[in-house]
Amino acid sequence: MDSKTWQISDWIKIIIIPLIFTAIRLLTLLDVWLLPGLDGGYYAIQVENIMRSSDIKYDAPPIAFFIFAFFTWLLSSFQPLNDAIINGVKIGLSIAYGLSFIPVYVLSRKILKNRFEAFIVATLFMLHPFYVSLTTASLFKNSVGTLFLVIGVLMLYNFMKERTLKNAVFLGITITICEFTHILCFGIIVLFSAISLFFIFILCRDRAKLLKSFIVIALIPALATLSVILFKPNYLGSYWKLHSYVEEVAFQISSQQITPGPQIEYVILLTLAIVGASLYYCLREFIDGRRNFENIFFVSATILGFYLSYPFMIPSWRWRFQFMLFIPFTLSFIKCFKESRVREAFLISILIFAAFIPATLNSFVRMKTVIDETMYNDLLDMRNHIEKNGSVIIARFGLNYWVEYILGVQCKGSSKWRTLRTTPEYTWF
Amino acid sequence: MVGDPNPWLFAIVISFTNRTISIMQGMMHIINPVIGAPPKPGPIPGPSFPIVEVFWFASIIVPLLAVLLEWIRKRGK
Repeated sequence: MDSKTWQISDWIKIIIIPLIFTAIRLLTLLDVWLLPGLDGGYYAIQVENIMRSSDIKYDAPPIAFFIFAFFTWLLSSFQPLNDAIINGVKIGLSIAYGLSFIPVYVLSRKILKNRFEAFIVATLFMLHPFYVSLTTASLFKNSVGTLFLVIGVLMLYNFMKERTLKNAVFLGITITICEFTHILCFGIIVLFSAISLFFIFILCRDRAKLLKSFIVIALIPALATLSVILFKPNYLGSYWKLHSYVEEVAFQISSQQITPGPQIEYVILLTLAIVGASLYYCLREFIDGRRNFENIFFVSATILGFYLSYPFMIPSWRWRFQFMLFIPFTLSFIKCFKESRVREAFLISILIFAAFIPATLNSFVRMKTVIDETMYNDLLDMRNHIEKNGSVIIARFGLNYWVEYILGVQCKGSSKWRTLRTTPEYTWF
Repeated sequence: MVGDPNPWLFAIVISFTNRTISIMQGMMHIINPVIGAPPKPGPIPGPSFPIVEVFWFASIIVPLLAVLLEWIRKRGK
């Protein structure tokens, strides 16, 4: 079973398994009317705008939308545009989800040097309830960004292992792709790289050479950002959240009060247990004098895990961070797998799998859109009664994007029913 | 083996014994829709004890203490 060299069964795994996960994700998504989640309509609007004007409507990192638009363009030869948009988003999401198996498998395979163990780790990653939930909760950009994030983690590992210019460039490029896909994925890869490279820098002897590599890694996203600021500033639309984050954390202002239910809580507890176990193994290696790059990589992963699960974070940010715990969970799990006996680790994997499966199934099954077929048809009927350019519709939270998508009018969203106001210039919905 | 802390054991014991009843209640709220059973009336039972907060500190302190004990034991030999 143990083998350092890649064999045909490895190639079969990284071709067949992603196809299976893509098919499962696609089948569950095709079962849902329109797009699931509160913000499903947002993605439909963005893709429709790309199809019509080659640009996004709302300011945001655009890569996920362009991926969805690519599949929409492929489908548009066979389907009406509206159907092609919905199905294009679903296909793009499913393929990104399926493909994320590959970098996790490759990383685990490199570290564990055992294809069966790597398969278990990558499968647990794919079935982590929080990862599956990204699509259920209409966090589609985040879901696509996760693919690039795990590629980034693999590139970071490669760079730490062999500090060559080629690996530095690859890492810089992946960070840039994350930057223009999703802000949280970008934040995580930057934080993870910063912690890892800081430790490497402290323990390294040839710091001058390392510093040059750091400059290369930082320069690629910096140049990309500069050119985007100059030519397409709307592609950095989500980055106002950074200001909001700093402000809210500094002054402890919270716009939402969200308490995680037990179904989320037990996944967090399980993740923390694995991260804690990984910390133990890492520290034990440190006191034994084994301060190699791999240990630094895993220590950084545990720090990332503790940061993302920090329980005193203000609630409005806490749930978003906790949703990304599947990244440190997977990395910590690789470490635990590596350090423990195979039989023991295999048993734990089965227990974790059993613990995950109810929440994972729930995430797959629970998907539903905020608008049913009757409401959709009502909106289609309204098209004839509403002026295209003169009306602004104020809709219930979660409906505004669909109203805007279907009616083609500018639509102002409302966070609560009671905020609707009667003014002559607004058309009511 | 006495004196050889096992982090796997630590992980399982705390995860699967602490607040088991509450967690199982939460899981039933998930399982019910999956298997087609009607959901239980009333809100999903919420956390009554700051378990995540306690567990967060425990998952840092316990490994640190375990390694410290191991280090002291090794120095004593």
